[in-house]
Amino acid sequence: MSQGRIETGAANERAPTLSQLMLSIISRVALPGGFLAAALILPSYMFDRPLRIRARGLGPDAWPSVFLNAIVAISLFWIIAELWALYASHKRKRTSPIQQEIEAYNYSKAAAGICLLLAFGWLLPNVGFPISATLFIFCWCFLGGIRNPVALILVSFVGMITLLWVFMGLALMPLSRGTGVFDDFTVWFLRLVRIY
Amino acid sequence: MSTFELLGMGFQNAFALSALLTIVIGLMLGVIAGALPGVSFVNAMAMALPFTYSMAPTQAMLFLGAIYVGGVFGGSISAIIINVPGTPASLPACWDGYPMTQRGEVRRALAVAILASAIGGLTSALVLSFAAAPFAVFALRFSQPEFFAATVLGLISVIAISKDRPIVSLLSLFLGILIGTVGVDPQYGVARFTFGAPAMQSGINFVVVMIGLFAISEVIDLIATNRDLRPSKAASARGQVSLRDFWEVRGAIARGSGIGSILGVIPGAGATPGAVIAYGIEKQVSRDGDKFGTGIMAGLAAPEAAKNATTGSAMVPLLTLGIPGSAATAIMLAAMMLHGVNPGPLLFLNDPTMVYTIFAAMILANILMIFAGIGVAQFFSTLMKTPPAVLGAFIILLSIVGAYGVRNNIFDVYVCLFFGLVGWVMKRTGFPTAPLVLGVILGPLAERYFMTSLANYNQDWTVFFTRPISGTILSLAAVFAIWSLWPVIRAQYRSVVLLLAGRAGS
Repeated sequence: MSQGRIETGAANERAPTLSQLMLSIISRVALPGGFLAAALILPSYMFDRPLRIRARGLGPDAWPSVFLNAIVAISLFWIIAELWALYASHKRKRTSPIQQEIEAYNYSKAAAGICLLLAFGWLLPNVGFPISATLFIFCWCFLGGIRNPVALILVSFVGMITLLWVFMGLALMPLSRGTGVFDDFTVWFLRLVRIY
Repeated sequence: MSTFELLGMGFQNAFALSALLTIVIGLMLGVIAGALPGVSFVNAMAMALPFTYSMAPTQAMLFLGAIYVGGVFGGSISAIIINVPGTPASLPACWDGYPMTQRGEVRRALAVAILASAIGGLTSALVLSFAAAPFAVFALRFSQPEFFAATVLGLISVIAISKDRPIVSLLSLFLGILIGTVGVDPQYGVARFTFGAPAMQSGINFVVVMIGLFAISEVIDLIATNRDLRPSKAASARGQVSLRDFWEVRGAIARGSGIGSILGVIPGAGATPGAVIAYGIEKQVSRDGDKFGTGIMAGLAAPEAAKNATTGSAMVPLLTLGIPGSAATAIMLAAMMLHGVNPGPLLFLNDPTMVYTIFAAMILANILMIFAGIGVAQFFSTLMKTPPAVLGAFIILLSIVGAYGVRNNIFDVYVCLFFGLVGWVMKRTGFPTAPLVLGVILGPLAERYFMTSLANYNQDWTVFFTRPISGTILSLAAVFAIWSLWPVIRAQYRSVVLLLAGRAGS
């Protein structure tokens, strides 16, 4: 009885097109496929120059090779398991919670956050910690929805000085001062806030 | 010297003003970080690492130990007040703690949670104080093959961490081990996977990997989900606390403490399985088992006691074998290594003062946690009003400075950012991060023990199985792996049988 119901429900659904099926397969096997490809390519990049060691017993390539081979085996197993799962569930309707979750999650904001992080990573050695940290706090808070300019300026400026004092003043960490004119500026600023 | 005398000496050191202040500050930070969803005590410990550089080794351990103790409890504050667990281990606190809050019994729920956590932690600290030394004496018989076997046991534990997805967990673990091979190899001095970059020759530091994977990925999630962390009005403080409440849950606390203390010793088990297992057992044992989930005090007390009971016992394998069983103890291992302290059985002989000061501090921290917990719970509502964006910005800056501070190297900042992105992708795809971290930490250790064992025993592979202790540990690892995988194997087998039967029927 229930079998019949399932079949009726499935019959009402539109059969997936070839492109949809391919997309489904690709989305399922992309990650393990990536690992598989990486594990197959990486052995040729293990050493910068040809190995000239005559090792007694296991050489320096033995340990990584074991795990590269293990990754190949597991990735293959994962791909087979994914394809099997796809085959087993191809009649079932795709669950809606995934769609809901995607809608609740703001990927554009996440992408903007990642770009900010990368920008901060690039700025840090070039313009120094004080300027890059101030800019980062300002932009991150703005991205997070804070629009009050006074709050933005105060949080980023006071926050940066607090961090400078804690890390460069108390913990004596040699944080980046930047290069060229930015180095001069950072030194001037550190003197101004009495860290130097 | 007897254990009591050594512990007395430890208390003397722990009660010194600077040590006491370190413990109190660590506890407060831990409880606050644990209570803030998206921060977590592991992130707090990772971010606190740079602050320990200027501290003495013992003080650094007291600081991190106090954050650990406070943080494991702290997660329950947000779970009870706003139904958002600050840490995964605090999830059971949502099931019976939050319904109590909804009934207006927030004070009662917090009081039970604080007391249960403190008793659980105290039991565990006592276990650590009295069981660690005999265990260390036993561990003195260990040679390279035994250390390799113990490391394998630690690596196998990842299957238990995420037993529902063992294949993916294993893949994550192997990736971690592979990342651990980057840099100059320990036996031949040959650079591996450096891609011609000189900065890669010193390897990838696991602290940097951890900061990226845990802290940065969490903050990206925080900004993308725009979570509202403010408590609801229903969480207003009322509900009287009485001694009778504590008496009613004495059995639950005792059971939770016992379960947590035992599970904590197993590498990889940690606070989350401890809390969940204790909740499940309490549900079976309690007369009100069928009412669990509606705000039953025993359902709150048992997992609270269990999760804090894992804190002390989790340090037994760390201090006696140098094997961290969780991310938190891995950070403590990193701190020890950064200060030139090598954990292991010899530590008990070479520096008993340090070891017993840590034990005494763990006992003290669990007592002081009662006051820290009450204090932070009072101010939690105010803290949660801080916009998540401001919290996130500072977490990222602290993380990046923490990564930079490991070797004062900008390369580590890039590695941290890279693993932040990797961690975010892993979170979004449901790929487990904990096995990768354990692989990065334990992989190089396993390789070193493995290669030196073979070198010492004429490349004889059987040495790992013929030596009694090593063979026993490896057998235990095999049993542990099969036991952990068995439910998955059985479920897979049943699904295949059902599918084939369905096809045959149609």
